[in-house]
Amino acid sequence: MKKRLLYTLLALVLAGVFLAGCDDSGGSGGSSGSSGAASSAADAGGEAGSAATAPPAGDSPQQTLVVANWKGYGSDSDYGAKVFEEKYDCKVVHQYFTSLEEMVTMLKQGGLGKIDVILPNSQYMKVVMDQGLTQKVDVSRISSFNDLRPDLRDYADAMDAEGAYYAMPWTWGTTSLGYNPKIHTEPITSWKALWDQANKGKVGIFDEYYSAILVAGLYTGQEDIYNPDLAEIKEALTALKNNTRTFWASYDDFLKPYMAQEITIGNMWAGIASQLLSAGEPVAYVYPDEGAIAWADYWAIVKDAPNYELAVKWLDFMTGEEFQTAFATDENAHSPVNEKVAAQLTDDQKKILWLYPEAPAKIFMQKAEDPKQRGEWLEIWNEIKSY
Amino acid sequence: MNFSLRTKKGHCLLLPSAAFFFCLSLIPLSMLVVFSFLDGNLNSDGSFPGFTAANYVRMFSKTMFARLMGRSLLIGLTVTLICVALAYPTAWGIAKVVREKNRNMLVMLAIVPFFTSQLLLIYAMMVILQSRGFLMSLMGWLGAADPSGSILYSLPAVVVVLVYEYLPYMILCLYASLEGIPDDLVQASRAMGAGRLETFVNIILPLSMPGLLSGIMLVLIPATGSFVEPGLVGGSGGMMIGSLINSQFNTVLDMGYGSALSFVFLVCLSLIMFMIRALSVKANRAIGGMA
Repeated sequence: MKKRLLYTLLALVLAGVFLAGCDDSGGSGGSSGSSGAASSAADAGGEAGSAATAPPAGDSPQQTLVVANWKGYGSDSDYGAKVFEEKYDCKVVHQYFTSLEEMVTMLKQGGLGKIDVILPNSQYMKVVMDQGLTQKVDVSRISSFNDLRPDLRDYADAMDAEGAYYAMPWTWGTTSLGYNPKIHTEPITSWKALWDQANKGKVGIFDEYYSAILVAGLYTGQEDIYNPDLAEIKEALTALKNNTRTFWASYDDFLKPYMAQEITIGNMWAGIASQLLSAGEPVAYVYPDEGAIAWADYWAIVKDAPNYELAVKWLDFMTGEEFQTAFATDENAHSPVNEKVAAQLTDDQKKILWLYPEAPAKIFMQKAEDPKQRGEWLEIWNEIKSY
Repeated sequence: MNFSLRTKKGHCLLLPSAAFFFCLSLIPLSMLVVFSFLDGNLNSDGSFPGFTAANYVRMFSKTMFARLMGRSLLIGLTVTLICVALAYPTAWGIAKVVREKNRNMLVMLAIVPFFTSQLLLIYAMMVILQSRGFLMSLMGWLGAADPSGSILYSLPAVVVVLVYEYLPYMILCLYASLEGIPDDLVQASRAMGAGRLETFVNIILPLSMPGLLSGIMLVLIPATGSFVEPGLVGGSGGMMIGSLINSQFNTVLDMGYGSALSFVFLVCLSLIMFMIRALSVKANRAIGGMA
């Protein structure tokens, strides 16, 4: 009796897996994804591979653009690939990855010559460039080029030594300072608040060495924040640690003590501030005068892309007003890199994106690091935490 | 003839488990030792980048490793002691006091937490302990503490959560040992005038020593090496050695340093287990129990 039940369950599970597999490999990337970026992309699983390399349906003379992206992340939405297909009479096929490492592996293991465009982020841009996986972008054909936020567009890690562009920014976000305005009634405008003795035991800090060192760099006013005076950084972080109640590493890790008011201030992801806002919790998410930490996603054209012309059009479309507006105002709200679009958003839309009253003036990207520096910086962070 | 055949067959029966042990324990352990001398990480094509003793130099040239190891051991030992203190009466109660037909149910109840994911246990405990949570509200209502405070994000919180997680292991180990002690022995000891404490020290403790030792092993080692609990409830001063090792693999991929840390951690714990074993043997001899 029990065995029969077990077999039935097993059969059901198998059937489920099989059906799910069919469902995904059959779709041509048109799944209207608006279920969030990285988190929902993570469960896309390994069945992504088959979609892209499959030949386009029929013998149509249409060109097929192969796009590698996270699943459900804007480009495969109704206002994304579909509109592009109609506009340029072509087909767009998505190949999904669940991590940026996977994206690189995808390219190295047969993706070169098949995939046209990829989406590395600000930290991975240099990695793909250094490995020769990308090629120059003809920016004279990016119609919104002059409207793109300059510091994101002219990001050094997305350019070569001669100043040629290898990618165009798409969307971006920040890790900045957040606090409970009911408890900290005076507006806070500086990272110094985290070091303030009055806030001792109320601070929550993201348990990640890179952002911690950047914040300490901003606080101590380093000339070159990416090559800081490590002795000063250590001193600042030790003081910060003594003010800290807990180091958080996930949404839940931050939200729980914040909602219980065990922490009331800290560095946080913009996404955490949004979560708090939608939960009706008091939160102020601000960009300190010293600057905020930021990330951005970039569209890059793959080396040996079969459809270079179409790929440039894709970058043009992705940074253009039409797409950027739709992307910024869909239910998951993504910060536009197109400043014209940003300026046209309503105050409510800006508030959702934490661009109200205005976007951060100074941003510092988390860049790619060489392994040696990574080890050294992690060691500093571990050592400070070990006391 | 018959005898030697039997032993040969017996040895053959050991083969599968020996192969298992060899593949999944000895090989990985020796790999750990080899990797601990790696200069950084494996190359992307899987070849070795060269060997160095720098990982060990780095570990011992600063006080960080010793400090974290000391803190972790202190937490591990505290957790183990609390578990022993709580588990002895419980296990004794289940093995000797309750009716036999209820025993299995009580053992089941002790195992129930294993049905849930470890992470869920930690979160459940956090909900109970957090500021304005169940415990603090109750204490506030009783006037014993300010409900807006909490012990979360501190070392005591780590100890509480670890005890909660590992107590069932200790109960089960002790129960198995205590159940095997004949009632006659206890009665004889009492009848001949030994007090409760004396009976415990001279009869029960020595006879339950195997269970106690395996319980200590099952609690001390994972508790000392834990990194999830200190990360979630340990606060700014709660880092343990497990977190340091974890970050070498999880944050930056430095296999060499990570393996070296793991290996020294392993050696330290083995030494401690060896010492505990030796002490227990000595104690048993002193009170005339079995070795």
